[in-house]
Amino acid sequence: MDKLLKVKNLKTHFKTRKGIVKAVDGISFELEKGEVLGIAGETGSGKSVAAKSIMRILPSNTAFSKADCLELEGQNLLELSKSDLKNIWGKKIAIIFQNPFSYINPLFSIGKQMSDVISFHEKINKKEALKIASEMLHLVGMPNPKSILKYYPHELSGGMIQRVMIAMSLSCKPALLIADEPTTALDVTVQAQILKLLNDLRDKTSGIILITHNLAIILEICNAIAVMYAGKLLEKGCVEDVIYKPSHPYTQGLLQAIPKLDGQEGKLKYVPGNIPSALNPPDGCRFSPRCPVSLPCCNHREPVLTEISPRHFVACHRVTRS
Amino acid sequence: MEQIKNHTRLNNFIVKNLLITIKNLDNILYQLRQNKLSILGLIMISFFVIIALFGPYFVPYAQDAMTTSVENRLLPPSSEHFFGTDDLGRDVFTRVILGAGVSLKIGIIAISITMFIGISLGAIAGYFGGWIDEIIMRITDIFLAFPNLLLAMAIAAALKPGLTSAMLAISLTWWPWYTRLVRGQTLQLKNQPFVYASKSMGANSLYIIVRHILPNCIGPVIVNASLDMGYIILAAASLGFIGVGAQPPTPEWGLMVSTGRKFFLDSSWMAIFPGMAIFFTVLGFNLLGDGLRDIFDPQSRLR
Amino acid sequence: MKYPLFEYFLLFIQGERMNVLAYIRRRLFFLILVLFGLSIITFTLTKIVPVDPTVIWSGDRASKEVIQKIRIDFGLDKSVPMQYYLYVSNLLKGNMGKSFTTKHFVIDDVKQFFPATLELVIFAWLFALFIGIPVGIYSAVKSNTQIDHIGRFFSLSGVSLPLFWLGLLLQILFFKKLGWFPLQGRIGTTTAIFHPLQSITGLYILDSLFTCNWIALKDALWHISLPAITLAFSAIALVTRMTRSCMLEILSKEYITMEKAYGLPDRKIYFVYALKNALVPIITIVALAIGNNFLGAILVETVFDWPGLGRYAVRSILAADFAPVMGVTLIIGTIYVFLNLLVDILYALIDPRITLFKKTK
Repeated sequence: MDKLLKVKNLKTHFKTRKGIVKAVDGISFELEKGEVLGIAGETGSGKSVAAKSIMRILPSNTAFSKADCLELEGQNLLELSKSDLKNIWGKKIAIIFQNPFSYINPLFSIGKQMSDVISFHEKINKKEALKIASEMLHLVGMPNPKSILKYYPHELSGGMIQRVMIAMSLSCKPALLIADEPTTALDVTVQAQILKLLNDLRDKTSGIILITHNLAIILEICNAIAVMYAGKLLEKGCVEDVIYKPSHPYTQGLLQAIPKLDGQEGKLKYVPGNIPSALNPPDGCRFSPRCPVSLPCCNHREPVLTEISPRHFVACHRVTRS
Repeated sequence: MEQIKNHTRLNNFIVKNLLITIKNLDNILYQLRQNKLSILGLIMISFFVIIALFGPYFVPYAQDAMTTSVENRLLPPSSEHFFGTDDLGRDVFTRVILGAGVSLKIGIIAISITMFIGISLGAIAGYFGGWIDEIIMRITDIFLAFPNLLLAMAIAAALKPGLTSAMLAISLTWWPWYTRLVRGQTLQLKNQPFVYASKSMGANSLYIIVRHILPNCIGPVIVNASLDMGYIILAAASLGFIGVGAQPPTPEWGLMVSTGRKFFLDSSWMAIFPGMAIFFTVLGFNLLGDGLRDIFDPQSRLR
Repeated sequence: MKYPLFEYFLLFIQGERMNVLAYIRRRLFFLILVLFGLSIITFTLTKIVPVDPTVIWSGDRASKEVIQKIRIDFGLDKSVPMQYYLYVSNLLKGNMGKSFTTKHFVIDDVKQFFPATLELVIFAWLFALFIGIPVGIYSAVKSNTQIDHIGRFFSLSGVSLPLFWLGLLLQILFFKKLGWFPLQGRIGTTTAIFHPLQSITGLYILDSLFTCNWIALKDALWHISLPAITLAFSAIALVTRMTRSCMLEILSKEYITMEKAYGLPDRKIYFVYALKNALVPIITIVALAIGNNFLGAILVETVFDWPGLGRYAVRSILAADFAPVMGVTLIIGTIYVFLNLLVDILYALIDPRITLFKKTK
């Protein structure tokens, strides 16, 4: 089967005054067509940077990305020039971000912003672009799409703006949709609606990458999951495998930390400690300082992702030893 | 017991603030060093201040400040008279150096008066609020509604022409900006816990304003003042050029350009050199001020 | 339903009626308050002037009766509040006193000299906006590169230049050394005699265009070049700096990243999307800068002997003739106040979040 996205050993470094920040330090995964991949991790694990690196929208004077392989539908993304990238952004890859109000221009109407994007990519005139825009708005469940086109962002609520963003991203039928914490800034009921929407619209793109720190969301709509920590992937596989049979101590810790309604009363379990500095990451396994079951070798040798069951990979010495 | 607890909390707050300021100073100097243009500005300003303060002792023709020697009039620049002589035979180089002192004096006095009026009104308006605030703000708005240098010209024209009139005129048009600035800061600060702590110990308003609020407002005020110094010197020179500022025989740069203008077709040195002095001084202040502003207040867009 | 007068007045101020006119009326109310404040300031200034107008107008050897008559004419025998009342009522009639240097009514002098200043300021600011804004945008886009540093240095220099000195330098360079441009004045004397310009608007360039007087047009353009360039210098520098810093701030906003992520072309993003967002602070600063530039116009008019309000005001100051100075100050102050009102209305037009009137969804 032709893979939608192939990422091998992606690294992104930032040049700062204090040194080089290795935000993403060698991650590899593949996305099949029709799959929804969830990338989970704490704040600071590098997941947003990873997404932006795949899309190559990081500023080129401070961020340096390299990979052994970065292919979308067979096309090498690393070799593309600036103008080529302009052609694939929005058309082949689209991204939606966390805080909908910050990411939409407040001075222009919804219709103008949507039609500009559509008419640029599809090369049609404004009237037809507006028609497509209104259809997309209808698809994302907005009431009165035609009048919404004339509205300005400050006249809509957060949930509605996020729907508009989804509509805008999907309007040119991109092959890959990246959603970076799309529901974190919204309240819970709206969260559920947006997730359902993303699920319903899966046929509009060939693949979705959902980035979040909330494992429950991943459980809702993803088929595959990759757990990221300090710039590296610790565990990846199908959702059923990873969530119900977590192998890596970090994943186990994360799952334990989710409060359950039917659980016993007691202190909330959490993973103690903090993410290591990206300037000077520790030798060996990045998680070992916080790992409750670390072995002596974990501090020296970095574990590699090894397959422990079909399509279930873990990077942990303890697991691979046993 | 409560009072003692509040007192120690207050002291801790002050000490913490001091330490933060010192650490910030280190950071500030580091950032300043990064910005080469600001360093250039700092050098230019230091040059200006040194010349202004110590220049009068080293000028080649110190007597030219007051006397004239008509037989030497309108000599072009030479090794004896670096900038030539003016229409009354005075050495232009000497007068330019003396002019630095005059400009510095004007700048410092004008900005001091401005800050005094502006800070007092701003702190009072912000702290007491209510109708005092309203009145002060309306007056501020009225002064701000005037294009400020035009008003300075009108005021200086109405008063007796002279250096003091110019300084007063400039201060009377510049204070509104500082009032607004300090009022904004005061409004934010007056609800801080340490103010309540102070009140609970029986401090009166004056004490609170002077000891607690004003020191915390000083930062942006200093940044603005350093930015303004250049413009104030420029304004004073412009008023001197028009004729409502410094009067002859005071060696003020703007006035020198104005007198030099009568002869500029043939003896252009009279007008060129004082003007150049104004330019470099103001440029120095602006370079430094720009750098300072980038550090302290990157969102500031005024000027 | 008939409102009682007072309630109507309150509603008038609060702008309860939902239309643009209500907003303008409310602003005009505060504007009138500000103008009154202005008049108080100018009145106070006239009072503290150390020169006694009676002495000026009567001359050295006037008799007591003449002096007394002049005092009554000027209203100096009445109380100060009464004088202020007379002052304001005169102002509202358009009477700003008489200049004893020109012997005309100040208002007539102002009408004569105003177009020249207007022409100069418009010309200079057209330069400023058409050069300053694109350069500012370019500087912001290419920020922190060599080009940007050079540009910032130049614009800082531009703002630090004393305009009167720059004008003098340009005169020395372009008139004395190169002979490319005339020294001063608005139009050459030969042109004025042989190809006289019909006065329609008072703006020589427009008038010569309308009457197809090409010789006068060329002469007028030739004369306005140096003064306009001088005045434009600091204006360009200021606009470039402001545009750059406003654009920098906008370009760091997330929605610009998003627009780039949609693949929209850079030029469209900068000149349409980002520029509109930056326009509100830019307009604010431009209005402020025009205000500061009035003194600049005065200086430039003095240096180039440009027959405008500035030169009129300076000559009056040097002759200790204060009525014109106050008149010019009031006129320019009033224009500035209305300019700020225009800016506020422009804000509401640009930024849909600022509503002039209450919208019903």
